[in-house]
Amino acid sequence: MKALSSFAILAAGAGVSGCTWMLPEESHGSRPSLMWLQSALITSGPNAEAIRTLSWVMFAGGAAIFLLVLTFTAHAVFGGTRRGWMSGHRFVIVFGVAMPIAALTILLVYGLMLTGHSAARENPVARIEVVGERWWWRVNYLDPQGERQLVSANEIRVPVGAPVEFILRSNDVIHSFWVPSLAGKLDMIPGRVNRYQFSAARPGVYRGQCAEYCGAQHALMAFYVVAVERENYRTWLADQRRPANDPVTELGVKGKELFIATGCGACHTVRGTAASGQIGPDLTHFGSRRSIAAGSFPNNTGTVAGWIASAQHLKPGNLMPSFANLRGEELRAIAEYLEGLK
Amino acid sequence: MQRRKVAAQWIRTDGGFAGRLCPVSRSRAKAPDHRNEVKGHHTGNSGATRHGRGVICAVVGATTVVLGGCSDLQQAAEQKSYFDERRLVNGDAAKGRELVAAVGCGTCHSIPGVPGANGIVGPPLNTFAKRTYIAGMIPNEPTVLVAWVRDAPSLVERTAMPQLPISYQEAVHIAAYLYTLRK
Repeated sequence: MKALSSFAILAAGAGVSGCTWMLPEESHGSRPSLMWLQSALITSGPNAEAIRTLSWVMFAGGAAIFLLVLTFTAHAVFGGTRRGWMSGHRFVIVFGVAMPIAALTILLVYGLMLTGHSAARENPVARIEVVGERWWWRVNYLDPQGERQLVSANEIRVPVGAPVEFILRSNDVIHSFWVPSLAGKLDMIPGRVNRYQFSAARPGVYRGQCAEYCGAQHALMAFYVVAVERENYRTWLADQRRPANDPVTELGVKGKELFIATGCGACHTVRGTAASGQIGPDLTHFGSRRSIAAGSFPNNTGTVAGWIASAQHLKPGNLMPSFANLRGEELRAIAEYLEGLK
Repeated sequence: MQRRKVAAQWIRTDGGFAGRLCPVSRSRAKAPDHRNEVKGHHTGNSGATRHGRGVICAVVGATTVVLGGCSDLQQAAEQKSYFDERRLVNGDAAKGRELVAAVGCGTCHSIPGVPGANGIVGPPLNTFAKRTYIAGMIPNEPTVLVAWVRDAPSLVERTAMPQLPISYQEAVHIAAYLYTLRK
């Protein structure tokens, strides 16, 4: 079991890229590392569990075939007079044709059954539309009629223990939506709508990442899924639907003025203010998110200030310019205002 | 010369750390005793005394030349160790480094030893242990640094560095890490 978990760590490590920071208080158990938030082998929920089982079956099967090949090779080299049986047609037909056909057929049936199960449609408790952008995620919470009831970005909140439907679109290039601890990946294709459902078994924070190369900042296109109890989900949704908080500190008030005056509202929306841009992420409740710049950095006044001042240095090619025209205290004011948008 | 005298006084009055850290200064402090010893041995014999005076002159001269020659270096070493001793905080540098990564200081600063920390908004923090001023305004002292990393605007009103959500103890760990950055 220990060896098994060591392998899990290795495999999980390989699946995580570009992570330079962590959320110690939110990791699974006491493991203070990002890999525990994003691993196809550390799962929560039936969809990811089925894939994990498939992974182990393939790993064990691959290991068995590898050992068989090694044994045959050793026998062929050192077997002396006893290796004659390996040179006949029968050997080639059994191990070269029949066995691969049998193994691959079993795997194919298993895989098709698994995919069929994942594609099953139940009555979802929540419907969330996620739109891939270069390089962030637009997240729209839909009501049962399919109307948008809440617009957010880069963080998805789901209720636990029940299927949630994801409606996946793209506005530019092909992205792929993947939360390894919760489900398999599904592509987001321009001009097409892909849907699937999955559920989280336990409350917690899970990290997801774009799994289809989509340009220069593909590696910095991540997000968090926060799974909460169903009751908390309803409360949260109601809370998020209200307009943005007014700033409470003097600096925050100045920050709000500067936010509007600097023109941030041309790209960003803060509901309840003049800012109503649609190009960038909605910032109405920005301060309550865990990360900034699509899972790239933790969210605090310091990182936000750094991001505003040097967005093009931190994530070159993204649509946000670096605002190097702000004085020191102005930069702090805007960061403080945004952090106050809980 | 004046400066040397001051240095010698400093060594005598503050043998506590300068004497401990600088063996050269200790031998210099001993020099007068050595002279007395030589003098005492040769009293009562005028020829020998004259000869002795020559020896004394030679010894004193040589001591002065040798010590005078290394005095600047010595002073530099003393100053360096003075700051090495002062720029220490009672924190865990390894924890500090993790905190620097977790808080995301790298969005603004380039920080050796922290992966991905290559920010261009604030000053680079390599050689921070040797940096004379914080923000170009306040002497780089441990207590100031601990206060600075938590709440920079309270020290320099117009700074771009915001207040950060870290505790006092976390700030101490971060300061401990920053004081390991020498190259």
